[in-house]
Amino acid sequence: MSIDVPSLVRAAGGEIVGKVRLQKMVYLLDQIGVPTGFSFSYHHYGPYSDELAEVVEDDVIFRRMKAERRRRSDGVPYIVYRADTASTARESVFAQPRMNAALQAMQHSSATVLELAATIHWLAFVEKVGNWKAELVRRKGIKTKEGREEKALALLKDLQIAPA
Amino acid sequence: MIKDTSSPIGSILSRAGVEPNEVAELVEAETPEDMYHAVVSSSFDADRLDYVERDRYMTGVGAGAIDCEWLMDNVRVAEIDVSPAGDNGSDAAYRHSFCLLYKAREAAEDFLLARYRLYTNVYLHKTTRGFEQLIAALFRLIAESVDRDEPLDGLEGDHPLMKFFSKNGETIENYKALDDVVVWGAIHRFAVAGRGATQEIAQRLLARRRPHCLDVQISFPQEPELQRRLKRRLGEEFKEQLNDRVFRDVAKLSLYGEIGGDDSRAQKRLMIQLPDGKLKEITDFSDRSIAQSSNERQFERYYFLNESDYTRAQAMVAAIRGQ
Repeated sequence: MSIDVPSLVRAAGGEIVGKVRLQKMVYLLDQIGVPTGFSFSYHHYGPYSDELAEVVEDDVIFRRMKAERRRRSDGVPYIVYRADTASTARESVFAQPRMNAALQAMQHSSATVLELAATIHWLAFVEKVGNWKAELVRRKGIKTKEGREEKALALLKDLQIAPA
Repeated sequence: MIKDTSSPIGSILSRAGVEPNEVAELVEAETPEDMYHAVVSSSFDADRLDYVERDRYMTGVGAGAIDCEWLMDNVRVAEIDVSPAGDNGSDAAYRHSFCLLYKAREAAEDFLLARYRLYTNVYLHKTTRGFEQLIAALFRLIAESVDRDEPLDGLEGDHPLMKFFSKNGETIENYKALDDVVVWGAIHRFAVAGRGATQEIAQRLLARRRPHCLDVQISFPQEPELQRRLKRRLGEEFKEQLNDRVFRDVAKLSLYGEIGGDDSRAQKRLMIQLPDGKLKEITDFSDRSIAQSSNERQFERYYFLNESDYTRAQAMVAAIRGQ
Protein backbone atom coordinates (compact mmCIF):
# COMPACT_ATOMS: atom_id res chain seq x y z
CA MET A 1 0.00 0.00 0.00
CA SER A 2 1.50 3.32 -1.05
CA ILE A 3 0.73 6.88 -0.01
CA ASP A 4 -2.03 8.77 -1.77
CA VAL A 5 -0.21 11.19 -4.07
CA PRO A 6 -3.16 13.59 -4.63
CA SER A 7 -3.38 13.93 -0.83
CA LEU A 8 0.31 14.77 -0.74
CA VAL A 9 -0.18 17.41 -3.44
CA ARG A 10 -3.10 18.89 -1.47
CA ALA A 11 -1.08 18.89 1.75
CA ALA A 12 1.76 20.62 -0.09
CA GLY A 13 -0.57 23.51 -0.93
CA GLY A 14 -2.39 22.07 -3.92
CA GLU A 15 0.51 22.20 -6.35
CA ILE A 16 3.84 20.45 -6.85
CA VAL A 17 5.91 21.82 -9.69
CA GLY A 18 7.93 19.36 -11.75
CA LYS A 19 8.54 15.63 -11.76
CA VAL A 20 11.94 16.00 -10.13
CA ARG A 21 10.46 17.94 -7.21
CA LEU A 22 7.68 15.39 -6.68
CA GLN A 23 10.06 12.43 -6.80
CA LYS A 24 12.58 13.95 -4.41
CA MET A 25 9.88 15.11 -1.98
CA VAL A 26 8.47 11.59 -1.74
CA TYR A 27 11.96 10.12 -1.33
CA LEU A 28 12.76 12.52 1.51
CA LEU A 29 9.36 11.92 3.14
CA ASP A 30 10.14 8.22 3.03
CA GLN A 31 13.41 8.87 4.84
CA ILE A 32 11.78 10.87 7.63
CA GLY A 33 9.44 8.01 8.39
CA VAL A 34 6.43 8.32 6.09
CA PRO A 35 5.76 4.77 4.87
CA THR A 36 5.42 5.78 1.22
CA GLY A 37 5.45 2.20 -0.05
CA PHE A 38 7.76 3.02 -2.95
CA SER A 39 11.22 1.64 -3.66
CA PHE A 40 13.86 3.89 -5.16
CA SER A 41 16.86 3.43 -7.40
CA TYR A 42 19.46 5.93 -8.58
CA HIS A 43 18.91 7.84 -11.84
CA HIS A 44 20.52 10.93 -13.29
CA TYR A 45 18.56 13.34 -11.04
CA GLY A 46 19.17 11.17 -7.96
CA PRO A 47 16.83 8.72 -6.18
CA TYR A 48 13.85 7.86 -8.37
CA SER A 49 10.92 5.46 -8.13
CA ASP A 50 9.37 3.85 -11.21
CA GLU A 51 6.44 2.75 -9.05
CA LEU A 52 5.77 6.32 -7.94
CA ALA A 53 5.91 7.53 -11.56
CA GLU A 54 3.39 4.87 -12.50
CA VAL A 55 1.04 5.72 -9.62
CA VAL A 56 1.21 9.41 -10.59
CA GLU A 57 0.31 8.55 -14.18
CA ASP A 58 -2.65 6.50 -12.93
CA ASP A 59 -3.79 9.38 -10.73
CA VAL A 60 -3.71 11.73 -13.72
CA ILE A 61 -5.40 9.29 -16.11
CA PHE A 62 -8.20 8.55 -13.62
CA ARG A 63 -8.51 12.31 -12.90
CA ARG A 64 -7.63 12.10 -9.20
CA MET A 65 -5.28 15.02 -9.85
CA LYS A 66 -4.30 17.21 -12.77
CA ALA A 67 -1.05 17.51 -14.68
CA GLU A 68 -0.65 20.90 -16.34
CA ARG A 69 2.01 21.56 -18.92
CA ARG A 70 3.94 24.79 -18.58
CA ARG A 71 7.11 26.22 -20.06
CA ARG A 72 10.10 28.00 -18.61
CA SER A 73 10.98 31.39 -20.05
CA ASP A 74 13.43 29.66 -22.44
CA GLY A 75 10.64 27.36 -23.58
CA VAL A 76 11.75 24.25 -21.70
CA PRO A 77 8.56 22.38 -20.77
CA TYR A 78 7.67 21.00 -17.36
CA ILE A 79 4.66 19.56 -15.58
CA VAL A 80 2.73 20.93 -12.63
CA TYR A 81 0.69 18.52 -10.53
CA ARG A 82 -2.42 20.05 -9.04
CA ALA A 83 -5.02 18.70 -6.65
CA ASP A 84 -8.14 20.38 -5.37
CA THR A 85 -7.43 21.59 -1.83
CA ALA A 86 -11.16 21.57 -1.00
CA SER A 87 -11.10 17.78 -0.77
CA THR A 88 -9.94 16.39 2.57
CA ALA A 89 -9.76 12.65 1.97
CA ARG A 90 -6.89 10.55 3.40
CA GLU A 91 -4.56 13.36 4.40
CA SER A 92 -3.96 12.40 8.02
CA VAL A 93 -0.31 11.44 7.68
CA PHE A 94 0.56 14.80 6.16
CA ALA A 95 -1.48 16.76 8.70
CA GLN A 96 0.98 15.89 11.49
CA PRO A 97 2.96 19.02 12.45
CA ARG A 98 6.35 17.44 11.66
CA MET A 99 5.22 16.32 8.22
CA ASN A 100 3.60 19.63 7.52
CA ALA A 101 6.80 21.47 8.45
CA ALA A 102 8.80 19.09 6.25
CA LEU A 103 6.51 19.73 3.28
CA GLN A 104 6.80 23.47 3.78
CA ALA A 105 10.60 23.30 3.95
CA MET A 106 10.77 21.21 0.77
CA GLN A 107 8.34 23.46 -1.09
CA HIS A 108 10.53 26.45 -0.22
CA SER A 109 13.59 24.77 -1.75
CA SER A 110 14.42 24.78 -5.44
CA ALA A 111 14.21 21.55 -7.45
CA THR A 112 18.02 21.54 -7.73
CA VAL A 113 18.40 21.80 -3.93
CA LEU A 114 15.92 18.94 -3.49
CA GLU A 115 17.86 16.91 -6.06
CA LEU A 116 21.07 17.55 -4.10
CA ALA A 117 19.47 16.80 -0.71
CA ALA A 118 18.04 13.49 -1.91
CA THR A 119 21.35 12.60 -3.59
CA ILE A 120 23.38 13.43 -0.45
CA HIS A 121 21.10 11.18 1.59
CA TRP A 122 21.34 8.42 -1.01
CA LEU A 123 25.14 8.60 -1.18
CA ALA A 124 25.60 8.69 2.61
CA PHE A 125 23.01 6.13 3.70
CA VAL A 126 22.17 3.90 0.73
CA GLU A 127 25.41 3.70 -1.23
CA LYS A 128 27.32 4.37 2.02
CA VAL A 129 29.99 6.39 0.23
CA GLY A 130 32.57 7.47 2.83
CA ASN A 131 33.48 10.75 1.18
CA TRP A 132 29.98 11.58 -0.02
CA LYS A 133 30.85 15.28 -0.41
CA ALA A 134 33.49 14.55 -3.05
CA GLU A 135 31.19 12.08 -4.77
CA LEU A 136 28.36 14.63 -4.77
CA VAL A 137 30.57 17.19 -6.50
CA ARG A 138 31.77 14.56 -8.96
CA ARG A 139 28.21 13.62 -9.91
CA LYS A 140 26.44 16.94 -9.69
CA GLY A 141 29.20 19.41 -10.63
CA ILE A 142 27.95 22.95 -11.13
CA LYS A 143 24.70 22.20 -9.32
CA THR A 144 26.61 22.03 -6.00
CA LYS A 145 27.90 25.61 -6.41
CA GLU A 146 26.47 28.98 -5.37
CA GLY A 147 25.42 27.75 -1.93
CA ARG A 148 23.14 25.00 -3.21
CA GLU A 149 25.05 22.19 -1.49
CA GLU A 150 24.87 24.08 1.80
CA LYS A 151 21.13 24.67 1.31
CA ALA A 152 20.63 20.99 0.63
CA LEU A 153 22.48 20.06 3.82
CA ALA A 154 20.49 22.62 5.80
CA LEU A 155 17.29 21.09 4.47
CA LEU A 156 18.42 17.61 5.52
CA LYS A 157 19.24 19.00 8.98
CA ASP A 158 15.76 20.55 9.19
CA LEU A 159 14.34 17.16 8.31
CA GLN A 160 16.68 15.53 10.88
CA ILE A 161 18.19 13.12 8.35
CA ALA A 162 21.51 14.82 7.61
CA PRO A 163 24.65 12.67 7.47
CA ALA A 164 27.38 13.34 10.04
CA MET B 1 37.64 0.03 -18.90
CA ILE B 2 39.19 3.40 -19.73
CA LYS B 3 40.73 3.62 -16.24
CA ASP B 4 41.91 -0.01 -16.27
CA THR B 5 45.69 0.08 -16.69
CA SER B 6 45.71 -3.32 -18.39
CA SER B 7 43.22 -2.12 -21.02
CA PRO B 8 44.59 -0.94 -24.39
CA ILE B 9 42.11 1.97 -24.36
CA GLY B 10 44.10 3.83 -21.70
CA SER B 11 47.43 3.43 -23.49
CA ILE B 12 45.93 4.50 -26.84
CA LEU B 13 44.60 7.67 -25.20
CA SER B 14 47.92 8.30 -23.44
CA ARG B 15 49.85 7.97 -26.70
CA ALA B 16 47.53 10.60 -28.18
CA GLY B 17 48.42 12.92 -25.28
CA VAL B 18 45.07 12.52 -23.53
CA GLU B 19 44.81 11.63 -19.84
CA PRO B 20 42.59 8.48 -19.59
CA ASN B 21 41.19 9.45 -16.18
CA GLU B 22 39.97 12.76 -17.56
CA VAL B 23 38.15 10.95 -20.36
CA ALA B 24 36.62 8.53 -17.84
CA GLU B 25 35.46 11.43 -15.67
CA LEU B 26 33.93 13.11 -18.71
CA VAL B 27 31.97 9.97 -19.56
CA GLU B 28 30.89 9.40 -15.92
CA ALA B 29 29.79 12.98 -15.17
CA GLU B 30 26.02 13.33 -14.74
CA THR B 31 26.09 17.09 -15.05
CA PRO B 32 27.99 18.78 -17.88
CA GLU B 33 31.15 20.55 -16.71
CA ASP B 34 32.32 22.01 -20.00
CA MET B 35 31.79 21.99 -23.73
CA TYR B 36 33.69 18.73 -24.16
CA HIS B 37 30.97 17.00 -22.18
CA ALA B 38 28.53 18.12 -24.87
CA VAL B 39 30.49 16.06 -27.40
CA VAL B 40 29.90 12.99 -25.22
CA SER B 41 26.39 13.74 -23.96
CA SER B 42 24.12 16.44 -25.28
CA SER B 43 21.24 16.98 -27.67
CA PHE B 44 23.78 16.91 -30.42
CA ASP B 45 26.51 14.56 -29.24
CA ALA B 46 28.85 12.58 -31.47
CA ASP B 47 27.20 9.27 -30.64
CA ARG B 48 23.77 10.46 -31.78
CA LEU B 49 25.06 11.94 -35.00
CA ASP B 50 26.76 8.63 -35.72
CA TYR B 51 24.03 6.15 -34.85
CA VAL B 52 21.12 8.05 -36.41
CA GLU B 53 22.70 7.62 -39.83
CA ARG B 54 24.43 4.28 -39.30
CA ASP B 55 21.55 2.41 -37.66
CA ARG B 56 19.12 3.71 -40.24
CA TYR B 57 21.37 2.40 -43.01
CA MET B 58 22.20 -0.93 -41.34
CA THR B 59 18.60 -1.76 -40.41
CA GLY B 60 17.16 -0.56 -43.72
CA VAL B 61 14.59 1.68 -42.05
CA GLY B 62 13.16 4.05 -44.62
CA ALA B 63 12.19 6.92 -42.33
CA GLY B 64 14.55 9.40 -40.75
CA ALA B 65 17.04 11.01 -43.14
CA ILE B 66 19.01 13.92 -41.65
CA ASP B 67 21.05 16.74 -43.13
CA CYS B 68 24.22 16.21 -41.14
CA GLU B 69 26.33 18.78 -43.01
CA TRP B 70 23.80 21.56 -42.55
CA LEU B 71 23.47 20.70 -38.87
CA MET B 72 27.24 20.75 -38.38
CA ASP B 73 27.49 24.10 -40.17
CA ASN B 74 25.03 25.59 -37.72
CA VAL B 75 26.18 24.20 -34.38
CA ARG B 76 27.15 26.85 -31.86
CA VAL B 77 28.19 26.88 -28.22
CA ALA B 78 26.07 28.71 -25.66
CA GLU B 79 25.43 28.71 -21.93
CA ILE B 80 22.57 26.30 -21.25
CA ASP B 81 20.63 25.98 -18.01
CA VAL B 82 21.15 22.40 -16.81
CA SER B 83 18.91 22.63 -13.74
CA PRO B 84 15.71 20.54 -13.60
CA ALA B 85 12.82 22.30 -15.33
CA GLY B 86 10.25 23.68 -12.94
CA ASP B 87 11.88 26.54 -11.08
CA ASN B 88 11.53 28.87 -14.06
CA GLY B 89 15.17 29.90 -13.97
CA SER B 90 15.13 30.99 -10.32
CA ASP B 91 17.94 28.56 -9.47
CA ALA B 92 19.60 28.22 -12.84
CA ALA B 93 22.92 26.40 -13.30
CA TYR B 94 24.60 27.34 -16.56
CA ARG B 95 27.16 25.31 -18.47
CA HIS B 96 28.51 25.52 -22.00
CA SER B 97 26.80 23.17 -24.42
CA PHE B 98 25.68 22.95 -28.03
CA CYS B 99 22.77 24.76 -29.60
CA LEU B 100 21.75 25.32 -33.22
CA LEU B 101 21.18 28.50 -35.13
CA TYR B 102 17.62 29.43 -36.04
CA LYS B 103 18.18 28.76 -39.74
CA ALA B 104 18.86 25.11 -38.94
CA ARG B 105 15.61 24.70 -37.01
CA GLU B 106 13.93 22.53 -39.63
CA ALA B 107 17.01 20.31 -39.98
CA ALA B 108 17.06 20.04 -36.18
CA GLU B 109 13.41 19.00 -36.15
CA ASP B 110 14.21 16.32 -38.74
CA PHE B 111 17.12 15.19 -36.59
CA LEU B 112 14.93 14.75 -33.50
CA LEU B 113 12.20 13.07 -35.50
CA ALA B 114 14.74 10.73 -37.12
CA ARG B 115 15.90 9.59 -33.68
CA TYR B 116 12.34 9.22 -32.50
CA ARG B 117 11.51 7.01 -35.49
CA LEU B 118 14.59 4.88 -34.88
CA TYR B 119 13.31 4.27 -31.37
CA THR B 120 9.78 3.42 -32.46
CA ASN B 121 10.82 1.35 -35.48
CA VAL B 122 14.00 -0.33 -34.26
CA TYR B 123 15.16 0.01 -30.64
CA LEU B 124 11.69 -0.35 -29.10
CA HIS B 125 10.32 -2.73 -31.73
CA LYS B 126 8.37 -5.50 -30.03
CA THR B 127 10.56 -8.25 -31.51
CA THR B 128 13.82 -6.54 -30.52
CA ARG B 129 12.52 -5.98 -26.99
CA GLY B 130 11.11 -9.52 -26.83
CA PHE B 131 14.52 -11.08 -27.49
CA GLU B 132 16.09 -8.65 -25.02
CA GLN B 133 13.61 -9.93 -22.44
CA LEU B 134 14.66 -13.51 -23.17
CA ILE B 135 18.37 -12.70 -22.80
CA ALA B 136 17.67 -10.79 -19.57
CA ALA B 137 15.63 -13.71 -18.23
CA LEU B 138 18.43 -16.15 -19.03
CA PHE B 139 20.99 -14.00 -17.22
CA ARG B 140 18.60 -13.65 -14.28
CA LEU B 141 18.24 -17.43 -14.04
CA ILE B 142 22.02 -17.84 -14.02
CA ALA B 143 22.41 -15.16 -11.35
CA GLU B 144 19.70 -16.72 -9.18
CA SER B 145 21.31 -20.14 -9.48
CA VAL B 146 24.72 -18.74 -8.51
CA ASP B 147 23.13 -16.83 -5.63
CA ARG B 148 21.57 -20.06 -4.29
CA ASP B 149 24.92 -21.77 -4.74
CA GLU B 150 23.29 -24.40 -6.92
CA PRO B 151 24.91 -26.02 -9.96
CA LEU B 152 23.29 -25.11 -13.26
CA ASP B 153 22.78 -27.87 -15.82
CA GLY B 154 24.67 -27.04 -18.97
CA LEU B 155 27.24 -24.65 -17.47
CA GLU B 156 30.39 -25.41 -15.46
CA GLY B 157 30.98 -23.53 -12.23
CA ASP B 158 34.03 -21.75 -13.67
CA HIS B 159 32.26 -20.54 -16.83
CA PRO B 160 32.78 -16.76 -17.31
CA LEU B 161 29.02 -16.15 -16.89
CA MET B 162 28.98 -18.03 -13.57
CA LYS B 163 32.06 -16.11 -12.45
CA PHE B 164 30.57 -12.77 -13.42
CA PHE B 165 27.36 -13.40 -11.46
CA SER B 166 29.16 -14.77 -8.39
CA LYS B 167 29.55 -12.63 -5.27
CA ASN B 168 31.93 -9.71 -6.02
CA GLY B 169 32.27 -11.15 -9.53
CA GLU B 170 31.33 -7.97 -11.37
CA THR B 171 34.94 -7.10 -12.13
CA ILE B 172 36.28 -5.62 -15.34
CA GLU B 173 38.29 -8.80 -15.92
CA ASN B 174 35.17 -10.99 -15.69
CA TYR B 175 33.17 -8.54 -17.79
CA LYS B 176 35.78 -8.51 -20.55
CA ALA B 177 35.54 -12.31 -20.74
CA LEU B 178 31.88 -12.06 -21.76
CA ASP B 179 32.20 -11.69 -25.51
CA ASP B 180 29.65 -12.87 -28.07
CA VAL B 181 31.29 -16.26 -28.52
CA VAL B 182 31.24 -17.02 -24.78
CA VAL B 183 27.59 -15.99 -24.37
CA TRP B 184 26.38 -17.78 -27.51
CA GLY B 185 28.38 -20.85 -26.45
CA ALA B 186 26.52 -20.86 -23.12
CA ILE B 187 23.18 -20.51 -24.94
CA HIS B 188 24.06 -23.54 -27.11
CA ARG B 189 24.94 -25.57 -24.02
CA PHE B 190 21.70 -24.60 -22.24
CA ALA B 191 19.74 -25.57 -25.34
CA VAL B 192 21.23 -29.06 -25.26
CA ALA B 193 21.92 -29.79 -21.60
CA GLY B 194 19.87 -27.21 -19.71
CA ARG B 195 16.59 -27.77 -17.92
CA GLY B 196 13.23 -26.04 -17.64
CA ALA B 197 13.19 -22.32 -18.37
CA THR B 198 16.92 -22.06 -19.20
CA GLN B 199 16.57 -24.71 -21.90
CA GLU B 200 13.31 -23.28 -23.23
CA ILE B 201 14.73 -19.77 -23.49
CA ALA B 202 18.01 -20.94 -25.02
CA GLN B 203 16.18 -22.98 -27.66
CA ARG B 204 14.00 -20.00 -28.51
CA LEU B 205 17.04 -17.76 -28.90
CA LEU B 206 18.83 -20.23 -31.16
CA ALA B 207 15.77 -20.83 -33.34
CA ARG B 208 14.91 -17.08 -33.37
CA ARG B 209 11.51 -18.06 -31.97
CA ARG B 210 10.21 -14.87 -30.44
CA PRO B 211 7.95 -14.94 -27.35
CA HIS B 212 4.25 -14.18 -27.79
CA CYS B 213 3.69 -10.47 -27.36
CA LEU B 214 0.69 -8.60 -26.05
CA ASP B 215 1.06 -4.86 -26.54
CA VAL B 216 -1.04 -2.87 -24.08
CA GLN B 217 -1.05 0.35 -26.13
CA ILE B 218 -1.86 -1.42 -29.39
CA SER B 219 -4.68 -3.34 -27.68
CA PHE B 220 -6.34 -0.05 -26.75
CA PRO B 221 -4.90 2.81 -28.81
CA GLN B 222 -5.63 6.28 -27.40
CA GLU B 223 -7.56 4.78 -24.47
CA PRO B 224 -5.33 5.18 -21.41
CA GLU B 225 -8.03 4.12 -18.94
CA LEU B 226 -8.58 0.80 -20.72
CA GLN B 227 -4.81 0.34 -21.00
CA ARG B 228 -4.53 0.74 -17.23
CA ARG B 229 -7.36 -1.71 -16.61
CA LEU B 230 -5.68 -4.29 -18.82
CA LYS B 231 -2.36 -3.74 -17.13
CA ARG B 232 -3.88 -4.28 -13.69
CA ARG B 233 -5.70 -7.44 -14.73
CA LEU B 234 -2.58 -8.86 -16.36
CA GLY B 235 -0.56 -7.99 -13.26
CA GLU B 236 -3.02 -9.83 -11.02
CA GLU B 237 -3.51 -12.82 -13.31
CA PHE B 238 0.18 -13.48 -13.97
CA LYS B 239 1.65 -12.39 -10.64
CA GLU B 240 3.05 -15.86 -9.96
CA GLN B 241 4.53 -16.33 -13.44
CA LEU B 242 6.09 -12.89 -13.80
CA ASN B 243 9.81 -13.06 -14.65
CA ASP B 244 9.45 -16.81 -15.01
CA ARG B 245 7.17 -17.55 -17.98
CA VAL B 246 5.77 -14.07 -18.39
CA PHE B 247 7.84 -10.91 -18.81
CA ARG B 248 6.73 -7.30 -18.56
CA ASP B 249 8.57 -4.68 -20.57
CA VAL B 250 7.99 -0.97 -20.05
CA ALA B 251 9.65 1.95 -21.82
CA LYS B 252 8.85 5.62 -22.21
CA LEU B 253 9.84 7.73 -25.13
CA SER B 254 9.86 11.46 -25.72
CA LEU B 255 11.12 13.49 -28.63
CA TYR B 256 14.50 13.51 -26.88
CA GLY B 257 14.73 9.71 -26.71
CA GLU B 258 14.07 7.07 -24.12
CA ILE B 259 13.26 8.45 -20.68
CA GLY B 260 15.02 6.61 -17.91
CA GLY B 261 14.14 8.67 -14.87
CA ASP B 262 12.35 11.80 -13.74
CA ASP B 263 12.77 13.58 -17.01
CA SER B 264 14.96 13.84 -20.06
CA ARG B 265 18.41 15.00 -19.03
CA ALA B 266 18.66 18.76 -19.12
CA GLN B 267 21.68 18.70 -21.41
CA LYS B 268 19.73 16.65 -23.97
CA ARG B 269 17.26 19.45 -24.65
CA LEU B 270 17.73 20.95 -28.06
CA MET B 271 17.97 24.71 -27.85
CA ILE B 272 17.74 27.05 -30.84
CA GLN B 273 19.69 30.29 -30.82
CA LEU B 274 17.65 33.24 -32.05
CA PRO B 275 19.25 36.14 -33.98
CA ASP B 276 19.43 38.19 -30.73
CA GLY B 277 21.44 35.40 -29.05
CA LYS B 278 18.61 34.21 -26.80
CA LEU B 279 17.84 30.52 -26.60
CA LYS B 280 14.51 28.82 -27.11
CA GLU B 281 13.65 25.16 -26.75
CA ILE B 282 12.91 23.67 -30.16
CA THR B 283 9.32 22.68 -29.43
CA ASP B 284 8.38 26.15 -28.13
CA PHE B 285 7.92 27.67 -31.60
CA SER B 286 4.30 28.22 -32.61
CA ASP B 287 4.95 26.97 -36.16
CA ARG B 288 6.81 23.84 -35.06
CA SER B 289 6.17 20.65 -37.01
CA ILE B 290 7.12 18.30 -34.19
CA ALA B 291 5.29 17.40 -31.01
CA GLN B 292 5.97 18.90 -27.59
CA SER B 293 9.04 17.38 -26.06
CA SER B 294 7.14 16.88 -22.79
CA ASN B 295 4.79 14.43 -24.53
CA GLU B 296 5.60 10.91 -23.47
CA ARG B 297 4.76 7.82 -25.41
CA GLN B 298 4.43 4.71 -23.33
CA PHE B 299 5.42 1.25 -24.52
CA GLU B 300 4.17 -1.59 -22.38
CA ARG B 301 4.29 -5.17 -23.49
CA TYR B 302 3.79 -8.54 -21.90
CA TYR B 303 5.79 -11.42 -23.35
CA PHE B 304 4.71 -15.02 -22.88
CA LEU B 305 6.71 -18.22 -23.30
CA ASN B 306 3.55 -20.35 -23.29
CA GLU B 307 0.82 -20.03 -25.85
CA SER B 308 -1.83 -20.93 -23.25
CA ASP B 309 -0.83 -17.93 -21.09
CA TYR B 310 -0.93 -15.71 -24.16
CA THR B 311 -4.41 -16.96 -25.04
CA ARG B 312 -5.61 -16.15 -21.51
CA ALA B 313 -4.18 -12.67 -21.84
CA GLN B 314 -5.92 -12.15 -25.18
CA ALA B 315 -9.19 -13.23 -23.56
CA MET B 316 -8.71 -10.43 -21.02
CA VAL B 317 -8.34 -7.90 -23.81
CA ALA B 318 -11.56 -9.17 -25.38
CA ALA B 319 -13.35 -9.06 -22.01
CA ILE B 320 -12.31 -5.44 -21.44
CA ARG B 321 -13.49 -4.58 -24.94
CA GLY B 322 -16.81 -6.09 -23.93
CA GLN B 323 -16.84 -8.76 -26.58
